[in-house]
Amino acid sequence: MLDIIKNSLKMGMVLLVICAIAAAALAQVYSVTSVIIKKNDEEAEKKKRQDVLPSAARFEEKEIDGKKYIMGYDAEDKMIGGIFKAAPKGYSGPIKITIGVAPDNSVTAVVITRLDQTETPGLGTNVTKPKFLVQFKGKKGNDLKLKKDSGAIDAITAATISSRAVANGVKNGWEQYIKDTGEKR
Amino acid sequence: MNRRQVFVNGIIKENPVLILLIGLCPTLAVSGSANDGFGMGIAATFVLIASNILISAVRKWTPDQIRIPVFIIIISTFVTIVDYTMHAADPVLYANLGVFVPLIVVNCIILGRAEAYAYKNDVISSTLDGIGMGLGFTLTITVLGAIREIIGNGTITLLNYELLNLGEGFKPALMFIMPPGAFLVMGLLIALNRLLIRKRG
Repeated sequence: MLDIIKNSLKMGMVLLVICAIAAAALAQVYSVTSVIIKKNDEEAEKKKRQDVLPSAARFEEKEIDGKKYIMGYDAEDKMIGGIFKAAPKGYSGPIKITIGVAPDNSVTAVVITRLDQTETPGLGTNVTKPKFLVQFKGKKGNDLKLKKDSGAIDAITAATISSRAVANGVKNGWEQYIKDTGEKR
Repeated sequence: MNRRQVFVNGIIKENPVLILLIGLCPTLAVSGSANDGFGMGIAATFVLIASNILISAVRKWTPDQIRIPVFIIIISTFVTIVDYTMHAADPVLYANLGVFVPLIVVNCIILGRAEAYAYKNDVISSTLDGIGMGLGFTLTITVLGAIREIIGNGTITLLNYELLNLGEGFKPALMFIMPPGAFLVMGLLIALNRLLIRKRG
Protein backbone atom coordinates (compact mmCIF):
# COMPACT_ATOMS: atom_id res chain seq x y z
CA MET A 1 0.00 0.00 0.00
CA LEU A 2 2.68 2.43 1.06
CA ASP A 3 4.62 1.51 -2.05
CA ILE A 4 1.75 2.46 -4.35
CA ILE A 5 1.40 5.86 -2.70
CA LYS A 6 5.12 6.43 -2.86
CA ASN A 7 5.21 5.43 -6.52
CA SER A 8 2.27 7.65 -7.47
CA LEU A 9 3.85 10.57 -5.68
CA LYS A 10 7.12 10.00 -7.48
CA MET A 11 5.42 9.82 -10.88
CA GLY A 12 3.41 12.93 -10.13
CA MET A 13 6.55 14.78 -9.12
CA VAL A 14 8.42 13.75 -12.27
CA LEU A 15 5.52 14.84 -14.48
CA LEU A 16 5.18 18.09 -12.55
CA VAL A 17 8.87 18.90 -12.96
CA ILE A 18 8.85 18.10 -16.68
CA CYS A 19 5.67 20.12 -17.29
CA ALA A 20 7.05 23.05 -15.32
CA ILE A 21 10.27 23.03 -17.33
CA ALA A 22 8.29 22.75 -20.60
CA ALA A 23 5.97 25.61 -19.60
CA ALA A 24 8.89 27.81 -18.58
CA ALA A 25 10.72 27.10 -21.82
CA LEU A 26 7.61 27.85 -23.89
CA ALA A 27 6.87 31.07 -22.00
CA GLN A 28 10.45 32.22 -22.47
CA VAL A 29 10.49 31.41 -26.20
CA TYR A 30 7.07 32.99 -26.69
CA SER A 31 7.94 36.25 -24.97
CA VAL A 32 11.07 36.61 -27.09
CA THR A 33 9.60 35.58 -30.43
CA SER A 34 6.14 37.18 -30.22
CA VAL A 35 7.70 40.64 -30.41
CA ILE A 36 9.68 39.74 -33.52
CA ILE A 37 6.70 37.94 -35.07
CA LYS A 38 4.52 41.03 -34.56
CA LYS A 39 7.15 43.23 -36.19
CA ASN A 40 7.47 40.81 -39.12
CA ASP A 41 3.69 40.74 -39.56
CA GLU A 42 3.54 44.52 -39.65
CA GLU A 43 6.27 44.59 -42.27
CA ALA A 44 4.49 41.92 -44.31
CA GLU A 45 1.30 43.98 -44.10
CA LYS A 46 3.15 47.07 -45.35
CA LYS A 47 4.63 45.09 -48.21
CA LYS A 48 1.20 43.78 -49.18
CA ARG A 49 -0.19 47.32 -49.35
CA GLN A 50 2.75 48.36 -51.47
CA ASP A 51 2.23 45.33 -53.73
CA VAL A 52 -1.44 46.01 -54.49
CA LEU A 53 -1.01 49.77 -54.99
CA PRO A 54 2.60 50.12 -56.17
CA SER A 55 2.42 53.83 -57.03
CA ALA A 56 1.11 54.94 -53.65
CA ALA A 57 3.41 57.09 -51.54
CA ARG A 58 1.40 56.96 -48.34
CA PHE A 59 -1.60 55.12 -46.95
CA GLU A 60 -4.41 56.23 -44.72
CA GLU A 61 -6.76 53.97 -42.83
CA LYS A 62 -10.41 54.85 -43.06
CA GLU A 63 -13.50 53.43 -41.46
CA ILE A 64 -16.71 53.49 -43.46
CA ASP A 65 -19.82 51.99 -41.85
CA GLY A 66 -17.67 49.99 -39.46
CA LYS A 67 -15.58 48.47 -42.26
CA LYS A 68 -11.88 49.16 -42.51
CA TYR A 69 -10.47 50.43 -45.78
CA ILE A 70 -7.03 51.71 -46.61
CA MET A 71 -6.76 54.58 -49.05
CA GLY A 72 -3.58 55.11 -51.06
CA TYR A 73 -2.30 58.54 -52.09
CA ASP A 74 0.55 59.41 -54.46
CA ALA A 75 3.31 61.99 -53.92
CA GLU A 76 0.98 64.86 -54.93
CA ASP A 77 -1.60 63.64 -52.38
CA LYS A 78 -3.98 62.52 -55.10
CA MET A 79 -6.13 59.50 -54.21
CA ILE A 80 -4.96 56.69 -56.45
CA GLY A 81 -6.92 53.80 -55.06
CA GLY A 82 -8.21 51.90 -52.09
CA ILE A 83 -7.36 48.60 -50.45
CA PHE A 84 -9.78 46.22 -48.81
CA LYS A 85 -9.46 42.86 -47.16
CA ALA A 86 -11.55 39.76 -47.51
CA ALA A 87 -11.37 36.43 -45.71
CA PRO A 88 -13.69 33.97 -47.45
CA LYS A 89 -13.88 30.39 -46.26
CA GLY A 90 -11.66 28.16 -48.39
CA TYR A 91 -11.31 24.39 -48.45
CA SER A 92 -9.73 24.20 -45.01
CA GLY A 93 -10.07 27.58 -43.35
CA PRO A 94 -10.25 31.26 -44.16
CA ILE A 95 -8.16 32.66 -47.01
CA LYS A 96 -7.00 36.18 -46.19
CA ILE A 97 -6.98 38.30 -49.32
CA THR A 98 -5.65 41.82 -49.85
CA ILE A 99 -7.21 43.60 -52.83
CA GLY A 100 -6.37 46.96 -54.41
CA VAL A 101 -8.92 48.96 -56.39
CA ALA A 102 -8.13 51.79 -58.82
CA PRO A 103 -10.20 55.03 -58.97
CA ASP A 104 -11.98 53.65 -62.06
CA ASN A 105 -13.19 50.79 -59.83
CA SER A 106 -11.15 48.08 -61.57
CA VAL A 107 -9.02 45.75 -59.45
CA THR A 108 -5.32 46.73 -59.49
CA ALA A 109 -3.96 43.61 -57.85
CA VAL A 110 -4.83 40.76 -55.53
CA VAL A 111 -2.30 39.43 -53.04
CA ILE A 112 -2.43 36.24 -50.98
CA THR A 113 0.77 35.08 -49.31
CA ARG A 114 1.41 31.51 -48.23
CA LEU A 115 0.85 32.51 -44.63
CA ASP A 116 -2.59 33.91 -45.44
CA GLN A 117 -4.14 30.52 -46.10
CA THR A 118 -4.18 26.90 -44.96
CA GLU A 119 -5.29 25.19 -48.17
CA THR A 120 -4.09 21.74 -49.25
CA PRO A 121 -0.37 21.87 -50.07
CA GLY A 122 0.21 21.33 -53.77
CA LEU A 123 -3.41 21.93 -54.77
CA GLY A 124 -5.28 24.73 -53.00
CA THR A 125 -2.07 26.56 -52.09
CA ASN A 126 -1.74 27.36 -55.78
CA VAL A 127 -4.15 30.26 -55.22
CA THR A 128 -1.11 32.13 -53.86
CA LYS A 129 0.69 31.83 -57.22
CA PRO A 130 0.96 34.97 -59.40
CA LYS A 131 -0.28 32.94 -62.39
CA PHE A 132 -3.70 32.68 -60.76
CA LEU A 133 -3.82 36.07 -59.02
CA VAL A 134 -2.70 38.13 -62.03
CA GLN A 135 -6.00 37.24 -63.71
CA PHE A 136 -7.87 39.64 -61.42
CA LYS A 137 -5.89 42.64 -62.62
CA GLY A 138 -7.97 45.27 -64.42
CA LYS A 139 -11.25 43.36 -64.00
CA LYS A 140 -14.46 44.44 -62.31
CA GLY A 141 -18.01 43.30 -61.65
CA ASN A 142 -19.09 39.88 -62.82
CA ASP A 143 -15.73 39.27 -64.54
CA LEU A 144 -14.34 38.65 -61.06
CA LYS A 145 -16.10 35.28 -60.92
CA LEU A 146 -14.80 31.93 -62.17
CA LYS A 147 -15.38 30.98 -65.78
CA LYS A 148 -17.48 28.08 -64.48
CA ASP A 149 -19.68 30.68 -62.77
CA SER A 150 -19.89 32.79 -65.97
CA GLY A 151 -17.03 35.09 -64.96
CA ALA A 152 -13.59 35.52 -66.52
CA ILE A 153 -11.22 33.84 -64.05
CA ASP A 154 -9.68 30.44 -64.82
CA ALA A 155 -9.90 28.15 -61.80
CA ILE A 156 -6.86 26.13 -60.73
CA THR A 157 -7.15 22.54 -61.90
CA ALA A 158 -8.24 20.25 -59.05
CA ALA A 159 -8.65 23.21 -56.70
CA THR A 160 -12.02 24.61 -57.71
CA ILE A 161 -13.21 25.13 -54.13
CA SER A 162 -10.20 27.25 -53.21
CA SER A 163 -10.31 29.15 -56.52
CA ARG A 164 -14.03 29.82 -56.18
CA ALA A 165 -13.60 30.97 -52.57
CA VAL A 166 -10.98 33.50 -53.68
CA ALA A 167 -12.96 34.72 -56.71
CA ASN A 168 -16.22 35.11 -54.76
CA GLY A 169 -14.38 36.70 -51.84
CA VAL A 170 -12.85 39.27 -54.16
CA LYS A 171 -16.15 39.93 -55.93
CA ASN A 172 -18.27 40.29 -52.78
CA GLY A 173 -15.66 42.48 -51.12
CA TRP A 174 -15.41 44.55 -54.27
CA GLU A 175 -19.17 45.15 -54.39
CA GLN A 176 -19.17 46.17 -50.73
CA TYR A 177 -16.20 48.48 -51.37
CA ILE A 178 -17.91 50.18 -54.31
CA LYS A 179 -21.09 50.61 -52.27
CA ASP A 180 -19.29 51.97 -49.21
CA THR A 181 -16.89 54.32 -50.96
CA GLY A 182 -19.06 55.30 -53.91
CA GLU A 183 -21.31 57.75 -52.07
CA LYS A 184 -18.47 59.52 -50.36
CA ARG A 185 -16.60 60.43 -53.52
CA MET B 1 24.93 -2.87 -33.68
CA ASN B 2 27.64 -0.33 -34.42
CA ARG B 3 26.88 3.36 -34.78
CA ARG B 4 27.38 3.61 -38.53
CA GLN B 5 24.79 0.90 -38.94
CA VAL B 6 22.32 2.74 -36.69
CA PHE B 7 22.65 5.73 -38.97
CA VAL B 8 22.37 3.86 -42.30
CA ASN B 9 19.51 1.63 -41.13
CA GLY B 10 16.99 4.45 -41.19
CA ILE B 11 17.50 5.01 -44.89
CA ILE B 12 16.93 1.58 -46.47
CA LYS B 13 16.78 -1.42 -44.16
CA GLU B 14 14.58 0.15 -41.49
CA ASN B 15 13.18 3.03 -43.50
CA PRO B 16 10.42 4.41 -41.25
CA VAL B 17 7.90 4.79 -44.05
CA LEU B 18 8.71 1.91 -46.39
CA ILE B 19 9.57 -0.83 -43.86
CA LEU B 20 8.26 0.20 -40.44
CA LEU B 21 5.18 1.73 -42.09
CA ILE B 22 4.90 4.55 -39.58
CA GLY B 23 4.39 8.23 -40.33
CA LEU B 24 2.06 7.37 -43.17
CA CYS B 25 -0.38 10.25 -42.58
CA PRO B 26 2.05 13.07 -43.38
CA THR B 27 3.73 10.96 -46.05
CA LEU B 28 0.50 10.46 -47.96
CA ALA B 29 -0.98 13.88 -47.26
CA VAL B 30 1.97 16.21 -47.90
CA SER B 31 3.64 14.53 -50.89
CA GLY B 32 1.73 16.29 -53.67
CA SER B 33 4.95 17.91 -54.85
CA ALA B 34 8.66 17.33 -54.27
CA ASN B 35 8.89 20.77 -52.69
CA ASP B 36 6.23 20.15 -50.04
CA GLY B 37 7.57 16.69 -49.33
CA PHE B 38 11.07 18.04 -48.78
CA GLY B 39 9.81 20.81 -46.51
CA MET B 40 7.85 18.39 -44.36
CA GLY B 41 10.81 16.01 -44.26
CA ILE B 42 13.30 18.62 -43.08
CA ALA B 43 10.96 20.11 -40.47
CA ALA B 44 10.15 16.66 -39.06
CA THR B 45 13.84 15.66 -39.06
CA PHE B 46 14.75 18.66 -36.86
CA VAL B 47 12.10 17.76 -34.32
CA LEU B 48 12.97 14.06 -34.47
CA ILE B 49 16.67 14.61 -33.74
CA ALA B 50 15.96 17.05 -30.91
CA SER B 51 13.27 14.93 -29.26
CA ASN B 52 15.47 11.81 -29.54
CA ILE B 53 18.31 13.64 -27.77
CA LEU B 54 16.08 14.98 -24.99
CA ILE B 55 14.20 11.76 -24.39
CA SER B 56 17.40 9.75 -24.33
CA ALA B 57 18.85 12.24 -21.85
CA VAL B 58 15.94 12.00 -19.40
CA ARG B 59 15.32 8.26 -19.83
CA LYS B 60 16.98 7.28 -16.53
CA TRP B 61 14.72 9.54 -14.43
CA THR B 62 11.49 8.71 -16.22
CA PRO B 63 9.35 6.02 -14.54
CA ASP B 64 8.16 3.40 -17.03
CA GLN B 65 4.45 3.94 -16.37
CA ILE B 66 4.44 7.61 -17.34
CA ARG B 67 6.93 7.53 -20.20
CA ILE B 68 4.30 8.20 -22.91
CA PRO B 69 2.98 11.45 -21.34
CA VAL B 70 6.58 12.54 -20.85
CA PHE B 71 7.38 11.84 -24.53
CA ILE B 72 4.31 13.77 -25.65
CA ILE B 73 5.16 16.78 -23.49
CA ILE B 74 8.73 16.88 -24.78
CA ILE B 75 7.70 16.46 -28.42
CA SER B 76 4.89 19.00 -28.40
CA THR B 77 6.96 21.54 -26.47
CA PHE B 78 9.70 21.16 -29.02
CA VAL B 79 7.36 21.45 -32.00
CA THR B 80 5.92 24.67 -30.57
CA ILE B 81 9.38 26.08 -29.97
CA VAL B 82 10.39 25.26 -33.54
CA ASP B 83 7.18 26.90 -34.76
CA TYR B 84 7.75 30.17 -32.85
CA THR B 85 11.46 30.34 -33.56
CA MET B 86 11.10 29.71 -37.26
CA HIS B 87 8.26 32.24 -37.51
CA ALA B 88 10.39 34.90 -35.85
CA ALA B 89 13.79 34.10 -37.32
CA ASP B 90 12.99 33.52 -40.97
CA PRO B 91 9.56 34.54 -42.30
CA VAL B 92 10.44 33.32 -45.80
CA LEU B 93 11.32 29.82 -44.59
CA TYR B 94 8.27 29.89 -42.33
CA ALA B 95 6.05 30.84 -45.24
CA ASN B 96 7.17 27.64 -46.94
CA LEU B 97 7.48 25.24 -43.99
CA GLY B 98 5.08 26.87 -41.54
CA VAL B 99 2.04 24.89 -42.61
CA PHE B 100 3.85 21.62 -41.91
CA VAL B 101 5.12 22.39 -38.43
CA PRO B 102 1.84 21.80 -36.53
CA LEU B 103 1.44 18.55 -38.48
CA ILE B 104 4.69 17.22 -37.02
CA VAL B 105 2.96 16.65 -33.67
CA VAL B 106 0.88 13.90 -35.25
CA ASN B 107 3.85 12.34 -37.03
CA CYS B 108 4.10 8.96 -35.33
CA ILE B 109 7.71 8.46 -36.46
CA ILE B 110 8.76 10.83 -33.69
CA LEU B 111 6.81 9.08 -30.91
CA GLY B 112 7.70 5.73 -32.48
CA ARG B 113 11.44 6.37 -32.34
CA ALA B 114 11.17 7.81 -28.82
CA GLU B 115 9.53 4.60 -27.62
CA ALA B 116 11.46 2.09 -29.71
CA TYR B 117 14.91 3.60 -29.65
CA ALA B 118 15.70 6.79 -27.71
CA TYR B 119 14.16 5.49 -24.46
CA LYS B 120 16.51 2.49 -24.47
CA ASN B 121 19.76 3.90 -25.90
CA ASP B 122 22.39 6.49 -25.11
CA VAL B 123 22.33 10.06 -26.38
CA ILE B 124 24.84 9.68 -29.21
CA SER B 125 23.19 6.56 -30.70
CA SER B 126 19.79 8.25 -30.36
CA THR B 127 21.06 11.31 -32.21
CA LEU B 128 22.36 9.12 -35.03
CA ASP B 129 19.09 7.21 -35.09
CA GLY B 130 17.24 10.53 -35.36
CA ILE B 131 19.42 11.73 -38.23
CA GLY B 132 19.17 8.40 -40.09
CA MET B 133 15.42 8.05 -39.63
CA GLY B 134 14.92 11.70 -40.51
CA LEU B 135 16.94 11.33 -43.70
CA GLY B 136 15.04 8.15 -44.61
CA PHE B 137 11.74 9.94 -44.09
CA THR B 138 12.83 13.05 -46.01
CA LEU B 139 14.21 11.01 -48.89
CA THR B 140 11.08 8.86 -49.17
CA ILE B 141 8.57 11.70 -48.98
CA THR B 142 10.59 13.80 -51.47
CA VAL B 143 10.89 10.97 -53.99
CA LEU B 144 7.19 10.18 -53.55
CA GLY B 145 6.39 13.86 -54.07
CA ALA B 146 8.61 14.10 -57.16
CA ILE B 147 7.00 11.05 -58.81
CA ARG B 148 3.47 12.28 -58.05
CA GLU B 149 4.28 15.79 -59.20
CA ILE B 150 5.90 14.82 -62.50
CA ILE B 151 3.00 12.54 -63.47
CA GLY B 152 0.24 14.63 -61.94
CA ASN B 153 1.42 18.13 -62.76
CA GLY B 154 4.26 17.79 -65.29
CA THR B 155 6.82 19.54 -63.10
CA ILE B 156 9.35 18.91 -60.36
CA THR B 157 9.95 21.75 -57.90
CA LEU B 158 12.46 21.77 -55.08
CA LEU B 159 13.09 24.68 -52.70
CA ASN B 160 10.66 26.60 -54.90
CA TYR B 161 12.83 26.26 -58.00
CA GLU B 162 11.34 24.48 -60.95
CA LEU B 163 13.84 21.75 -61.80
CA LEU B 164 11.87 20.16 -64.59
CA ASN B 165 8.86 21.14 -66.64
CA LEU B 166 7.36 18.87 -69.27
CA GLY B 167 5.71 21.87 -70.88
CA GLU B 168 2.22 22.65 -72.11
CA GLY B 169 2.03 19.64 -74.43
CA PHE B 170 2.09 17.19 -71.52
CA LYS B 171 -1.34 16.11 -70.33
CA PRO B 172 -0.90 15.44 -66.61
CA ALA B 173 -2.74 12.59 -64.91
CA LEU B 174 -4.32 14.67 -62.15
CA MET B 175 -5.17 11.60 -60.11
CA PHE B 176 -1.53 11.35 -59.04
CA ILE B 177 -1.55 14.55 -57.01
CA MET B 178 -4.87 13.53 -55.46
CA PRO B 179 -5.07 11.01 -52.57
CA PRO B 180 -5.41 7.84 -54.72
CA GLY B 181 -2.12 8.67 -56.46
CA ALA B 182 -0.39 8.81 -53.09
CA PHE B 183 -1.47 5.25 -52.24
CA LEU B 184 -0.51 3.88 -55.66
CA VAL B 185 2.98 5.41 -55.77
CA MET B 186 3.54 4.54 -52.12
CA GLY B 187 2.75 0.87 -52.79
CA LEU B 188 5.16 0.80 -55.71
CA LEU B 189 7.91 2.43 -53.63
CA ILE B 190 7.45 -0.16 -50.87
CA ALA B 191 7.73 -2.96 -53.44
CA LEU B 192 10.83 -1.38 -54.96
CA ASN B 193 12.51 -1.03 -51.56
CA ARG B 194 11.77 -4.68 -50.67
CA LEU B 195 13.24 -5.73 -54.03
CA LEU B 196 16.40 -3.72 -53.36
CA ILE B 197 16.83 -5.34 -49.94
CA ARG B 198 16.27 -8.88 -51.30
CA LYS B 199 18.77 -8.33 -54.15
CA ARG B 200 21.41 -7.28 -51.63
CA GLY B 201 20.70 -10.31 -49.49
